[in-house]
Amino acid sequence: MRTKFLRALVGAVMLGTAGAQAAEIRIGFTQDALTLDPGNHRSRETETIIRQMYDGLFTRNSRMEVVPELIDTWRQVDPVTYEFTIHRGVRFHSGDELTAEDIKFTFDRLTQTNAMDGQTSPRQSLLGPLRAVEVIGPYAVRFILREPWPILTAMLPFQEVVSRRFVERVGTAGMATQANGTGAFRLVEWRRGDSLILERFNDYFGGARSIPPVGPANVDRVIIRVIPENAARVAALLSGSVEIINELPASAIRQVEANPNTRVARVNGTRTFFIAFNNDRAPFNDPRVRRAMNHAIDRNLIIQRILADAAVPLNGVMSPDAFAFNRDLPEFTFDQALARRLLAEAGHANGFEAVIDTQSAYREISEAIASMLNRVGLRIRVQVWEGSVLTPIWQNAERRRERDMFFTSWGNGALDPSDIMVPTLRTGGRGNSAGFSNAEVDQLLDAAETEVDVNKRRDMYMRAQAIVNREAPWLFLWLPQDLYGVSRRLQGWEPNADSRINLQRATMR
Amino acid sequence: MSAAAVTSPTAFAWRRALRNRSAVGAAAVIVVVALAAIFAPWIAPHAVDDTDLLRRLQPPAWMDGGEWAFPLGCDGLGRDILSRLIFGARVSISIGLLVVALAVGIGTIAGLTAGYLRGTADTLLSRLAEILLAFPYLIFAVGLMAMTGPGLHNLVLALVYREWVVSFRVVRGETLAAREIEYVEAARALGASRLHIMTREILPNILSPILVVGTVRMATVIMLEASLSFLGLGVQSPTASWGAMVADGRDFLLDAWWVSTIPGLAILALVLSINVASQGFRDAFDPRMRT
Repeated sequence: MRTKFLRALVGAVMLGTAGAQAAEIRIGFTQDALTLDPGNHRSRETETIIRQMYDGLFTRNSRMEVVPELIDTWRQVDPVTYEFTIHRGVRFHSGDELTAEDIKFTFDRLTQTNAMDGQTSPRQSLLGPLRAVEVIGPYAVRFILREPWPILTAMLPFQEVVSRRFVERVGTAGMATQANGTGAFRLVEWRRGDSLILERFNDYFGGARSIPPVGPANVDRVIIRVIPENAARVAALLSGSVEIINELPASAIRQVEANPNTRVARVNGTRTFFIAFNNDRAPFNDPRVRRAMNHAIDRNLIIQRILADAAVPLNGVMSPDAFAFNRDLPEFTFDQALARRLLAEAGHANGFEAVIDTQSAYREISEAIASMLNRVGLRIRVQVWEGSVLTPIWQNAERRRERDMFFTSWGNGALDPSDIMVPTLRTGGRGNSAGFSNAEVDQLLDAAETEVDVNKRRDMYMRAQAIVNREAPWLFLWLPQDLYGVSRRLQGWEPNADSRINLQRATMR
Repeated sequence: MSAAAVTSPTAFAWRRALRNRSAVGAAAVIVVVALAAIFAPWIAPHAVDDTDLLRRLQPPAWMDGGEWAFPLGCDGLGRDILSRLIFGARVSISIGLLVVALAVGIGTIAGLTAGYLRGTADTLLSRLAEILLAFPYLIFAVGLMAMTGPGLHNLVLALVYREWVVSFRVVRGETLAAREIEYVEAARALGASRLHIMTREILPNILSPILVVGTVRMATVIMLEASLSFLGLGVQSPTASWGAMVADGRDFLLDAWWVSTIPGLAILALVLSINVASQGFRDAFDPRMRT
């Protein structure tokens, strides 16, 4: 207790003298962690913070490939059985060694009902059909699935391994404010709503073997400062009081690039933006109308002008970085004459009235799209809603009956079609706000879900994407890049599409 | 003293008002804004929703990259700021007038009733007014708008819902004072009905404070409309509103200051003018201020 207090005190003093001798990296971050318990949240930002202190069985490299982290070797025994061996000598911050028991405990805690002191982990569904984890040696475990689930390894980077001994000692309540991971940094102090102070963990096992250099972190300290306001976060970067900021607003790109000490770092995000047409409602039940509207908007102009070139236009659902992305989808070129012709063919030569439902953050973009649609003779209007009101309306087939178009997005952290096409495009999917229903797509998605042959699986998703492109249930938009503002003094760090900010290999100049 | 030298109180007041230069200047601003609002479709150089992303954040004409076709520059969607300002004046002025008219109407009826009848009616209305006053106005309006949804009608309702309390309190106070004065007693002695006393005797005599409250509150209402529109609860795009225009530009404040600043200055000018002008005219027409 006493040493902890002293450490916190030293940390606080060092904060004031800002890295005179000790190298530290300060991050201006949009949100504080909701909890420090890796098993008790569904927040991307919380995960980014927790990931500084904890490791996963797998992680992703900067090319977004899934690579082993705590795992040394692994093999798939059969479609529903995987065997993993972890590295030996991995230490938790408390000094305990990581063993197979901790792995089993971690995943039991996530998947079993009421496993967290009577509470079920909100992350349970992220592990799909994982049925059981068996210890088969001091450093070896076996994962057993209820049914084949090809994206198991793609989903494992989202789960961090906890110490059984520690959790049993502090309980789920204690896990919310204390941390004992195997990560490159250990928690010094969490000033809720203000900052989180971390220091280098000297006994770090080194991180993913395939991402050099392997070893403890270079910098002594990492400070995550919570700065929710965009302008304040940008100002903190420009004034040199933080080295990294997340969610750099596109409107600030020019400023950050004009400053000699800062630069913009970009990475393709994992969130697909689109406008769902209400496919059950006239005139959107006619694919010609939906295709016409896809030809009526100039995606590139919007991306260039409003999104500061920080997005990739899409003609379908999948990110270009994702597994089974179909590169050969026909492009919806910006062609107003074609759009008018298709509308006339569908019997709407005089256009029609419709409303785009959106939220205030996307009002400007929605209005730009509406004005482009109006250029081909439609009468489209934008209605701004509260997100918590709008989303439930569109997720309910009965309640969305009177609505026309819905500006929305769907995240695909696993970068796998199973994680985005099944919820948004399969009949009755929980995110299928368009009400799209196509027997062939359903059949392909269902078959791919349990297909273990990677090539066959890829082929099924490619075909499903081609059908979706042809049927155009959405006004396809784009995949935004995640933008970070970075100090030029910071070396050896690039952003990751999974929003992880891995500072193990970063140095300060 | 010859007949020609006799000055009626009204003419005298007008002369005093015209000598007050700041009040005259302020009145001129109001007239210009009102004319712009009335003739918006004829004088605005562009349509209010004429979007062109190629003109996005084009600066005002006097700056590098500006052109006289868009004298005050363009907003984030490439719409002409001058045209939106002119159309936005309609929203500010009409909401200001409508809300004040409704609020003063309701407040006057309620105030006369409470002040003249006293008793239960007074207790109920006064307590209601106090309850409404106990809420911070803006938070109250935001809450109401969140429940009813954004839009012009709901905006007017949200503003009137509490605005009437201000005139209610003034009218009630004046009525309480007036009901004890001899002319009211005389009317009562002559057997006039309550309605007659309230509307024919008391109301004409307390009209001037009501008008003063109305004009002063008009400025406040315009500010509140701008605030609610700024928060995205007011008039819905593409209809232009000054408050919403300020909100539109706040993301570009460092890059393109004109998008927010110009409508902000317009709000400032109108609200200040209404305050200065109403102050000037009140001074001029107040018999106690006569020198």
